[in-house]
Amino acid sequence: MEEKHLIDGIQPNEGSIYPQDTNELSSALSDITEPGKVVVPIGGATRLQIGAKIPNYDYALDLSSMNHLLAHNSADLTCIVQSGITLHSLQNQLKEKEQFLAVDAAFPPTATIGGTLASNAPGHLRWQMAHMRDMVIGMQVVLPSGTVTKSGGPVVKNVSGYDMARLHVGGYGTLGVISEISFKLTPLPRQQGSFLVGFQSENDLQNFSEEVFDSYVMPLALTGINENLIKTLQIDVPQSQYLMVIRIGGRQMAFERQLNILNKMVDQYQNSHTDLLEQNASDPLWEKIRDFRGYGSNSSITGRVFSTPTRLRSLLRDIVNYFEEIGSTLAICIQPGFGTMEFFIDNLPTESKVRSTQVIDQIHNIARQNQSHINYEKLPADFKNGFNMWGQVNEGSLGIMRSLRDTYDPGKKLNRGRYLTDKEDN
Amino acid sequence: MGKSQHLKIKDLIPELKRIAGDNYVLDDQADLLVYEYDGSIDRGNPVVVVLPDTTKEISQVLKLARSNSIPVVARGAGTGLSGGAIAEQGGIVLSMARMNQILEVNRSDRYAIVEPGVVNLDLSTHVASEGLYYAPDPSSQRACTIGGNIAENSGGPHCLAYGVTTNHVLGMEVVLADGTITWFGENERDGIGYDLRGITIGSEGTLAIVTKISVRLLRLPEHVKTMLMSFETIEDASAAVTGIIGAGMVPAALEMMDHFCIKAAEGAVGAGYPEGAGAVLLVELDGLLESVEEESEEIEAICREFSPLEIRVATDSLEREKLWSGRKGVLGALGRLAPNYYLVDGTIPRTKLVDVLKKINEISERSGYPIANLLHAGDGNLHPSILFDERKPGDVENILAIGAEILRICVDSGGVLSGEHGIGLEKQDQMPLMFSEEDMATMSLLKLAFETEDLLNPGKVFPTGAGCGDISQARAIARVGPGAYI
Repeated sequence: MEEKHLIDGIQPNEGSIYPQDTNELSSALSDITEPGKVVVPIGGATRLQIGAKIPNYDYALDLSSMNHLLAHNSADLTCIVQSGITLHSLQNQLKEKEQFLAVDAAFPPTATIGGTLASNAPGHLRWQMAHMRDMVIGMQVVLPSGTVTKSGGPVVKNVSGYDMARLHVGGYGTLGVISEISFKLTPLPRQQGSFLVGFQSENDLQNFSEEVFDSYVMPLALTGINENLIKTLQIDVPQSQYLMVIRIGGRQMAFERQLNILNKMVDQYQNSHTDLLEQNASDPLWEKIRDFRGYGSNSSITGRVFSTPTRLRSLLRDIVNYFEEIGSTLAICIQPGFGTMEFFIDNLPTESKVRSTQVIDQIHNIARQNQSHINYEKLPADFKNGFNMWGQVNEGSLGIMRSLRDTYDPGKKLNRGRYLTDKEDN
Repeated sequence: MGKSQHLKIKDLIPELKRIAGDNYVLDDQADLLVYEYDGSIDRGNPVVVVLPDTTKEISQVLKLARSNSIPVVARGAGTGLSGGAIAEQGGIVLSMARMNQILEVNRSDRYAIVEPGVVNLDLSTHVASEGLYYAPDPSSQRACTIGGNIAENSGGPHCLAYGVTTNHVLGMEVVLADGTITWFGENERDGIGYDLRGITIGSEGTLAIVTKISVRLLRLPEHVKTMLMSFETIEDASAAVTGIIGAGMVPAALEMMDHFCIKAAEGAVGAGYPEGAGAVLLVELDGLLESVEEESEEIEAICREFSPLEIRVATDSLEREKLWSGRKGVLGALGRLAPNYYLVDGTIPRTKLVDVLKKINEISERSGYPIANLLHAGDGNLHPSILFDERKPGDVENILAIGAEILRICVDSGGVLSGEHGIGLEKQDQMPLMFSEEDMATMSLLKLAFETEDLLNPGKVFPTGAGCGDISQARAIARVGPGAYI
């Protein structure tokens, strides 16, 4: 049994299956006919901790052997991949033709494309490059029964039938198992670099990001991290309350023009400091920021906030104030223009009078007050019992989501009890 | 539509009038004629048209329809080109014409909330003073509505760089078939759970009726450069497109028109296209001044490899608008060349442009029907327009067969049945060209997950039980009413 197939400390009752291609994947699913058996599709297992606590499961369906780039039509800026290919492997192959997939989830040497899509993994490139679901132009999916289906195709514009792939991005493998994906690709920018600005207040960080948002600068990524995360990641910059990292790219003159705009904007901010890192020097920094979820102990907590840029501003302030009130700290990674934020809480101080469950409840309250949503991605296993990690979805949507789940996987063979549709099974 | 359905709906008219108001329920035959067609070849007569003003009214209409098993078809401006808004099974047409308000513009968060009947171009015009715009720009953007754009996941010339409708919708208020009012997504760019917003966009009004839409707004670019490149042959122009994309450049727009389109557009609007050319490319770049200038130099260099007859750059906004007026008005202008045209919509891999256009030309020569080629070339979206005269016996049958043949070529080339017009009635029987029985059965289940009684825009998207090809044509011909204008 592979360690990576342990979910909340539970191993599969019947064992692990390693399909090599779509046919074997289809056979594996169709062969499991006994009612009640639970199958968990697994890619690189980098985000397997997400979801309600699994009561038990029977088969680990490990897709990591389905790891090929099936076609790269570089002249057409498209490719087709098997879902088990790692991000790292894919990007390396695309790079040979000076192209890339604008998806930058954490732990790329291990994270698979299928898992990244199914778990709607966050990434910093969304600031300009849009959501990863917008890169998907076609998808092959194997249903719980073993039936192989497809939608879309290897062209960049298509309205032929329902866009079924939309349901599987963020569907956590509960409607079917992604087996192949067609993507549209992006040319690598001719030049890249990162502009770093250190700020002494959260207000300055937010004001600056709004200015960038309102300017002609078009960052590939724009991310702010707080002092706690700067220290955790051991980033060597002058002391700052917040560090903003702005990745820009383009042709030489456009690159320099964007730098000039940023430099002029930052002049207005007292006590700020700046730095410019060439691509080779900035890549390790982005890797640290990208992979910060890997830090901390088993008892750490990671949450993800979905909001609008304006609401996120007040939400961040409220959360920071709350942690000051309780005499604790949290690490923050925020994408201000995109309206998303992740936070990371390691152990609360031992002298804290506030229990972790109270902290989580209060963060939920703050999110609600700011009309935002929280999805907890990592919680200690003992916290998961009876706790809704998924946050709130309106009743109308939830009704349709449950109907979809019942329609496509009536026996709840896939990932039973873990997704927000399966609350009654928790 | 059966007689009993007709009578049943007639009985409900007082209740519909109570919901929407006396003036907003139409059942006079003269009034209904306006709603029997859209921009496609198809026809269908609703029994009644309701023009609601609020989401609540729509909810009440749907509850009433459901309790009486009556189909409901939502309709925007009726500019669709695949029959999506046709009341194929009679029933109630819900016209969104009165729900045409821009409810909110949030500049800080760059979104607007609009009602479905808002005309596409009106939104960009409304927010222009804020330095913003709404990117999807179908050629019919002066008339088509954002609700209709959502139903068909519409594109447009500038979707090459900025994406189609689904890439610009954050969330939507919808009414489900049972009258439930809810939101799919909100104003955030990401969320939790299945992407109900995404699956509803492009579903041709078969899953839910959209009543409010939150759309992304983009900042107007600092600089725009529009270039017109003319070539001796369409093959040269196609090779230039392949060269541009292959070099890793994605302009804001990359459009192609052949000599038929050039002639028609020149005659209609005098856009300044060179009439002797075999094809023109309309290339638009936008963004930072420096970026636009650098990219335009590279694109010019690529195009020069294919011996262009002329490369012209619009020197001001007036000239730019003039160049675009030819492109956006070309479909209407085709009326100068023939009484009717049949517009085909398919997408192919961009590297197959030369091959596929050559095959289309061969079909034209073999059949004797001129085919005007208008392309969103940058994303491989073809719009071959077959010119004909419906008054000539056999022409309708022939051009439908040619359209089917062109779509088969697209699919055989690794492409798809529709790039931006949708399947609707027009192509439902050709779905098996692209999809297996299992694929279509899986898609059909989606409809069941949203509603079990198949009352929202029934009879669309999926084959009706017959195979493709000849039977499809026969059905299409049967639907064409006397004097149909395609």
